[in-house]
Formats: sequence, structure tokens, C-alpha cells
Amino acid sequence: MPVRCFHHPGRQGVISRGGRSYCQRCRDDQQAAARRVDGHVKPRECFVRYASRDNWMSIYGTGCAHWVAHQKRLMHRGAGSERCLDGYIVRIPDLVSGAKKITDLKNVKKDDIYVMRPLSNRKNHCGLVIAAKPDAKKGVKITIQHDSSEQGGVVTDDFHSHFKGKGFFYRG
Amino acid sequence: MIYGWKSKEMPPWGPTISQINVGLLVVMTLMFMAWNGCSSKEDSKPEIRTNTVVSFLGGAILHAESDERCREVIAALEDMLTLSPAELRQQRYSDYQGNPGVWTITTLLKRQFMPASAMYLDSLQFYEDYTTPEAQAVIKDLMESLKSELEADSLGQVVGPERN
Repeated sequence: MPVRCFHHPGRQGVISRGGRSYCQRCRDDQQAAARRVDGHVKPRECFVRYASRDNWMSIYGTGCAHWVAHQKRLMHRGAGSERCLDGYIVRIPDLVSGAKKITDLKNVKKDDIYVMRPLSNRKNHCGLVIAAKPDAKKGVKITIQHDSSEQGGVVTDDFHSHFKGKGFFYRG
Repeated sequence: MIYGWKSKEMPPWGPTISQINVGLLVVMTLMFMAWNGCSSKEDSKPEIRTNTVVSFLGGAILHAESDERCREVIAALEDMLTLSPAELRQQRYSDYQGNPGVWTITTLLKRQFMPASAMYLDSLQFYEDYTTPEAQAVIKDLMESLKSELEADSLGQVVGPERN
């Protein structure tokens, strides 16, 4: 049986992404929408979603959670919330949903997820721990990589100096 | 008067061939339209008029790293509470890097906020909706939350992981 477009069952699917097939028209519109995505978002080509009636649009917000989700291969599950074209998570609460909170900085490890503020806050930002080493002064030196809209892309910053030693860590 | 052929078993008030043909044509046309992508799963949802500002900002998360970005967003929300649509259309806000006068209010909202669920913020609809009382209440609530979080940040009240 031929593969059909997820949004247009009358059309032949020509590409498959994130477990869904799309027709040529969708593919062209996805690429056009990706060109409108802000340059800081990495990866950029999948930060799009179907709006309606053959319209594709860039996903709202910044790309911080999306980048972490790609790095950790965290796919969006269930309905209701937003996902990128490849099926990855784009929202911070979804990113740490079900993850274990690290309660002691000494236990923070590479690949833990960093969230800048409490999840109950209306504003937030996130990144990924790429190194955590014992440090004579700080107890532990934590290096965080994050997709920064303000710095224009994926950058590496120190937890204590750049993030003022504030934030939360999750594993899972 | 037009008569069509009727089966011998068919009662005299049964459908004529021309009536059956018209019925079949209608059914087949509808099936073709549905199958050929005239409407997608999302398109086929009934049109329910909702306030686009309430839908977008209610439960939305501001993606912002620095206090400066947060202050710019708070200023924009204040404008939504005080300016008329004509005045708000003229306003411009700084972009991610702080370059002044670059973004319209709708661009700022789309670039900084992630709504609670996937939706489309129609720019024209936005200017009709943001002045309604329900939208103003949501904007005010969001602005107050961001202000208090900003104040807590400046006082160093965002605690480390051991106290989260």
C-alpha cells in the first residue's frame, strides 16, 4: 500500500520524518518555513509545524529545549503539546517530565539537563551539562552548553559565572 | 415531468434512476474531496471563535535568559495594557541581541513565548483581541508574574538544586 501524506491522505508521501510521511507540497512548505526560523535555533530545518491548509510555520519561542532534546534524543510522546518535525520535544516542562531531580551539586554529571529557573516560573531557559569536575573553590565546576537566542547559537558557559550558580539539574 | 426507469419490485414512490445518480454523484464528490486533501485532520475541526491572545499567553512560557530580555517583554506587555491598537502597531521592540526598534509586538511574542499548546497567532486577530477584558486579565496576570520573578532573581531568591 503506498505511503500517504500525514496531512493530506489523497497525496503520495515523498518524505518521512519523525514517524510521519509528507507529500511534495508539505516538503516544499516545510523547507520554506525553516528558512524563516531564527538563526540561533539548532537544528533549524525541523523547527517547523503544520498550521493549516497547506501552511507550515516556524515553531514559536526559542530553541533551547529543542536543542537539548535532539542531543539527548528525547522524543515527544502523547498528544497536546508541541513537537518538532522530527518528533523531538520543544518545551522545557516536557523535557524534564519524569526526570529525576538532582538535589546535590556534587552529584551533577555530564549529560544532566540544566534548567535555569523553577518549573513553576513563567520564564525559563535550559541547557545540557557537558562537564562536571571537582573544584577546590566551588566544590564542583559545571560547564553547560545551551542554545542561546541572545548569544545567537549553541554556546558553552560556566554554571557559577554565567548562570550565577543558580538553577536546577535533572537526569533522565 | 421527467420519468425514470423503475424496477418492477420498486414501489411507485421509490427513487428514480436520475435521483439515485444525483445521490451517488454527491456522495462520490464528498468522498473525493475528503480523500484528495481538500481538508486535513486539523482543517476539519469546527471553527470555534476563541480569543487568540488568551489562547496564546495563557500558560505560555517566556524563553529568556537575561533580565534585560525579561524587562523588554514586560515593557511590551505594559504597552498591551495601555496602548490602543493603532498605537501598538507603531511600537517596535528590541530583538534577541538587544538591537532596538526591530520587532513588532506580534514578532516579539512569537519569538519569545512558547504557548502551552501548538497554535497559530494571527497578527490581524491579535489587534482585535488584546483589548478585550479577558485578554487584558491574562496579560496583567502574566506581567505581574514576570515582574515578581524578575524581582526574586535580583534578590538572589532563585535557589540552588539542594533547595528546589
